[in-house]
Amino acid sequence: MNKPPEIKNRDLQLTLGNLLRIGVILSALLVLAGGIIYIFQQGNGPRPQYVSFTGENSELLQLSDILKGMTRLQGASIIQFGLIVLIATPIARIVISAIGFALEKDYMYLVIAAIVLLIILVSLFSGVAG
Amino acid sequence: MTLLVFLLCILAASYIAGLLGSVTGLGGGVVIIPFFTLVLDIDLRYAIGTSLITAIATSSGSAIAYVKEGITNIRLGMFLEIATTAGAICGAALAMYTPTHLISIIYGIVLIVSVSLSVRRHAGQSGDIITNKWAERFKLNSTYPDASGKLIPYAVHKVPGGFIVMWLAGILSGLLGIGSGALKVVAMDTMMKLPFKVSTTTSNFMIGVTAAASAGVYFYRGYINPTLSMPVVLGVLAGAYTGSNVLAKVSPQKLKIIFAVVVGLLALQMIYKGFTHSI
Repeated sequence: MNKPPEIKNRDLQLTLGNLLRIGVILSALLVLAGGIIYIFQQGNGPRPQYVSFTGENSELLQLSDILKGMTRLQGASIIQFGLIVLIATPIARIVISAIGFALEKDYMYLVIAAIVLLIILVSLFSGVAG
Repeated sequence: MTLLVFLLCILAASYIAGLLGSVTGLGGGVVIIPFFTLVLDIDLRYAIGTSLITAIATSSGSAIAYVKEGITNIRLGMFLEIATTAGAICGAALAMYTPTHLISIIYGIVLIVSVSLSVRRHAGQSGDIITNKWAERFKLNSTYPDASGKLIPYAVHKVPGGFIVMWLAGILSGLLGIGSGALKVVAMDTMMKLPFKVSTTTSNFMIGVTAAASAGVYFYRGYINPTLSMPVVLGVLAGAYTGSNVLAKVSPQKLKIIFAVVVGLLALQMIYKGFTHSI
């Protein structure tokens, strides 16, 4: 009974490792590309101050606006999208783990992974609503 | 100062932060917040948002190797993530209503506690395989490979207590934009009696998920700024990568103490600025 799940567990770990690697590299490349474009667009301007908190420009808060900005090759929008990929990487990790647990027929951990996912989604949507 | 010079300053500082953070195991964020607020005079809320992004980057970046080696206890991590993510949401919600000078004081105190915890030498593992009914119920006991690749079994102790400490670690993570790695490791190491390698890698694995839970709130509130995050993410990732390669060549204990002193001084200044309301 013990042997087959262990092999699958190993597969699960490899998949998770690859997923993390792809997510981090993709997001670093997006941030780098966006950063280079951003510097070409505004690099000679003065240093932004950020002495008091104003909240981000509303164009950079919603995914749909960020995607629109990317089509216009706005550096800041590309960076922001890279950051979303970075935030999404650990969330995708939970989804992959949940699939792994389902394959192992470990329903208790399927439920646990679903609870974690639900908590994160509540956070994301309460952020949108608030 | 032009924007380009400003970004290069942040990039250089982030590289050093990532390097020291990975060698000492404290993560890069602990330097980012004081550097932003004390040196560059940036509002604490922007610093917290950026630091949270840093925590996710370092966690995912360094988890890659460990997960493959099979040291991380994925079930334990997943189980405790219920506590850390729930805590993170509470913390992020609290952050919206807590005045920044108070956050600065809490941050300074947490920083001092974290560095003191990281300097301490690690207690050996108990080695006994007395099973805890919670550990058994949730299948948390596992094995890890030692240097020769032999699988060594270990048992997880004090599961409910560990769960509560993880919830607190989650609150601090959401409130302050940090990974709370030091607190997580201490809980797993001294309470749950996990082998050191397992507790550090599993804690690191959990940091990304915990931070992602509060990052949603921070993102929509505009705490996460692309101009500031760009050099920090790239710098910290590069620094952490260098750090993981030089790790074998330096004495971490000596470096840890130097780093702890620097971070401790920064922490004191954060507390002072908080009390004088100048942050």
